[in-house]
Amino acid sequence: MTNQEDTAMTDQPDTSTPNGDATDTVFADATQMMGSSGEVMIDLEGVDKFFGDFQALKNIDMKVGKQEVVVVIGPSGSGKSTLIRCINRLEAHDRGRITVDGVELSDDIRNIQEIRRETGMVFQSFNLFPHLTVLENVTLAPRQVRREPKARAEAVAMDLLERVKIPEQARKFPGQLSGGQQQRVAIARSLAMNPKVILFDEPTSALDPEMIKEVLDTMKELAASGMTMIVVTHEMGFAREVADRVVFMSDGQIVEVGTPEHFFENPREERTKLFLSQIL
Amino acid sequence: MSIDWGYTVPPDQGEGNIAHALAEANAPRHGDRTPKEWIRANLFNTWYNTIITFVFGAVALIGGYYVLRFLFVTAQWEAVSDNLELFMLGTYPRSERTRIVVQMLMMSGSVGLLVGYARARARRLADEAGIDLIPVTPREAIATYGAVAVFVGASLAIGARTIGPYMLVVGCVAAGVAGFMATRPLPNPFAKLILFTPFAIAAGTLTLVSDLNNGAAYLIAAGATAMLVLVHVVRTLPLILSAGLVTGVVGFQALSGTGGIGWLFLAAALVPVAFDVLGRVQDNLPPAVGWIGVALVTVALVRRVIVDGIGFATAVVFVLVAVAVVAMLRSNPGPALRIGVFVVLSFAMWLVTGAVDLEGIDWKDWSGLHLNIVVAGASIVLAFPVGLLLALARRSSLPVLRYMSTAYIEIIRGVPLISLLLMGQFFIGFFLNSDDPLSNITRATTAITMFSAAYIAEIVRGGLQSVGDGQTEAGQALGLSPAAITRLLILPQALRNVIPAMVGQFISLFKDTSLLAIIGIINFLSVREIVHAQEAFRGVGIAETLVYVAFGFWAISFTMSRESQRLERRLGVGVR
Repeated sequence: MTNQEDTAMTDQPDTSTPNGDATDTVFADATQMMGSSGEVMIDLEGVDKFFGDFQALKNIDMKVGKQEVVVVIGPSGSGKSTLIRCINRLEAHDRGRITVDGVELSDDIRNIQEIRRETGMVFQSFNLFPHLTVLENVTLAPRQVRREPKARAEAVAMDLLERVKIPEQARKFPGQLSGGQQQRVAIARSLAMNPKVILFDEPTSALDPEMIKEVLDTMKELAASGMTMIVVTHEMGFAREVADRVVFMSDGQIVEVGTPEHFFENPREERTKLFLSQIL
Repeated sequence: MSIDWGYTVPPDQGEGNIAHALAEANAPRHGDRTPKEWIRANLFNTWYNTIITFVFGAVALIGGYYVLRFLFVTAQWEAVSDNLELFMLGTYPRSERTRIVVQMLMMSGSVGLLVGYARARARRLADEAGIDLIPVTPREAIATYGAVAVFVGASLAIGARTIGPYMLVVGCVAAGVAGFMATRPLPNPFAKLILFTPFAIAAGTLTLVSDLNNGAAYLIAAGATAMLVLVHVVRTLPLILSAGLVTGVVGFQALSGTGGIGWLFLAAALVPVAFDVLGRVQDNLPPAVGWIGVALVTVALVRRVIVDGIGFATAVVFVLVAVAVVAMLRSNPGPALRIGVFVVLSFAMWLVTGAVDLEGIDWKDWSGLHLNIVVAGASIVLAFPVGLLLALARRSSLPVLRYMSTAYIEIIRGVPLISLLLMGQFFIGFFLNSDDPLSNITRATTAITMFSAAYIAEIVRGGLQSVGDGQTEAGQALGLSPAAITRLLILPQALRNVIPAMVGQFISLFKDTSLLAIIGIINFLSVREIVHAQEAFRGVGIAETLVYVAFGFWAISFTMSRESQRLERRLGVGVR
């Protein structure tokens, strides 16, 4: 562990190169931000996570800037989902520091709640609430957590449903919608809390092929609007087109970080090359 | 056999997977088959099936012959028919029968209103979601209520000596129908007359049956009718719900009197409509209104205490006032206003019940089938929340709650109900003063409640486990508190998943009320002992009374079971 940290330290001078001018920039580590205003939104320092004896995350250092879109890719079991689930404390990390918009995650439930309110999440299996209508799914958190009056929460929710292009489904139940529509509702639901960052956990993996595009389009619009996003996905086209940075993970470690151009055209690490050759 | 999901989806809306599944489930599977083809395909398709058909067909025929011969030829139903009122009401005082009439009419109206509420709510949701509700078919209604109808019909046919019982049954049906119709738009002005039928029948019953007469009963019936008309004119969901609940509570109080904590139930019953009104005016209310309301209640309360001394009711209202003040001090306007409204409601209902001051019929005089239903109803109403809390405690992260709940559940589930009933008789007194005022029936209800709560807790726990982790995670990711996640996301889904098991427990609870005989309480089953102690029926008609009682228990249990299946489908709107 100390060894890796040392490497990271010695590589620090790299971060002094100006952001964004070289399109195929390759980064020494994941703490250098791209395409953002320079302010740090999420900061992970030396994060370890164990499931029993299995170490799912090994000394992860990563920074995500405001308005940055980071795509995390890697083989299954590499710790991608665990990484973003640690950021909003769906999993508790065992070592290291995680800071979201200046608030450090601790065991204090109020602290956790504060970060969760600022952090939206979209799941692979949607996890919509099947007993509530689409509109109720979207208004639930603003009404319960922010105590917004019903009328205002519903007006905001309708705007969001408009934005994900399904306002006409507002009174339906999730079970009546297609997978793509459900995932767009889930995106609207996470937007309803007006989060500063949204975590996407393989948002298109459970979808039929013909529905993937509508969800990716919604995510692209979101990225274009300046939302900070961390996206775990296998959609390489999306990564290439939208990502400011691509992070490749394997065996719980960040193996390689770079702009999409660098990453897909000119990968440096053997493991990255092997992975890309398998999926492209 | 196609599965009846309770609603269909028009083909052009069959968009999602569920819609497809529903559309398929509702499509006819076998085409049109003649009975002859069905018989050949299902009863005589193989040689061994043919043998089975003949053997069991013969057994069924012979059994059926003996049953029918017993029912209609050899049986002497006099033991039942001469004692019908005894079976229904046991030792309940004859002079107070008016109260039973009022109670039954009110309860029927209450059921009608509540069914109407559930139906109207489901229809609104379904309309908005673009789902078609299947109307209740006559066949479904017969399958659900046929058993009880046969029981009531047979009882009347063999036992009713005057027109009174018939009028009562007709009145109950009319009250139920009127309650239900009040929740629906009635475009035909003549159809609105249906709202007045229970009143007409009640008045007729009370007048015709000469030894039943009570001005208060007319007054209550008129009040109920006025309420039906109001509900019908306004017809908002919260008002319908409140009306149904209030009718039920008042109906119960017609017998139990206005003492006790009936006022608290009345206040709770008014909550839906009161909070609805509050929600509409809330934004225009200055916060001072809350303080003025609480202050007025406090002054009135203190005056009461000075006059009458402090009692249970005053203590409860004081606690409510304190909660409201704390909520208002924390400047949380929504909850504070709600608690404030509940304080005012509670206090008002306390004054109302005090002003009416109707003395109740002593619990010890309640008996017969009526008692079984009341004890079962009370135990269900009480055991459900207790079981729910036990289940939540058992999954709690606080070890003390978890261990205590687990210990309670495992101990109670390992003990026979009879021993609990007996313990209730002998032990509860140890914890109370020597002048213990609890009646046998209160003790029995407590014992049955404690017993059932342990089982309900396990059923609910199963339901909680059946809801996927994804729901909790989605709630957490949105920043909802653990309590809100449980209350709004997990419990609604968990409870819906366990309706069949839960109703199974309620049915078993209802049948367990026959065990009240063990502690000397006269219920539907043990009325037989009184009957067969009579000169005329000593050793006569023993089988007949048993068959009658068993049929009564079966009819009610069966209807509960069928109704739960319907309920499960109804609540399934949009889910699955």
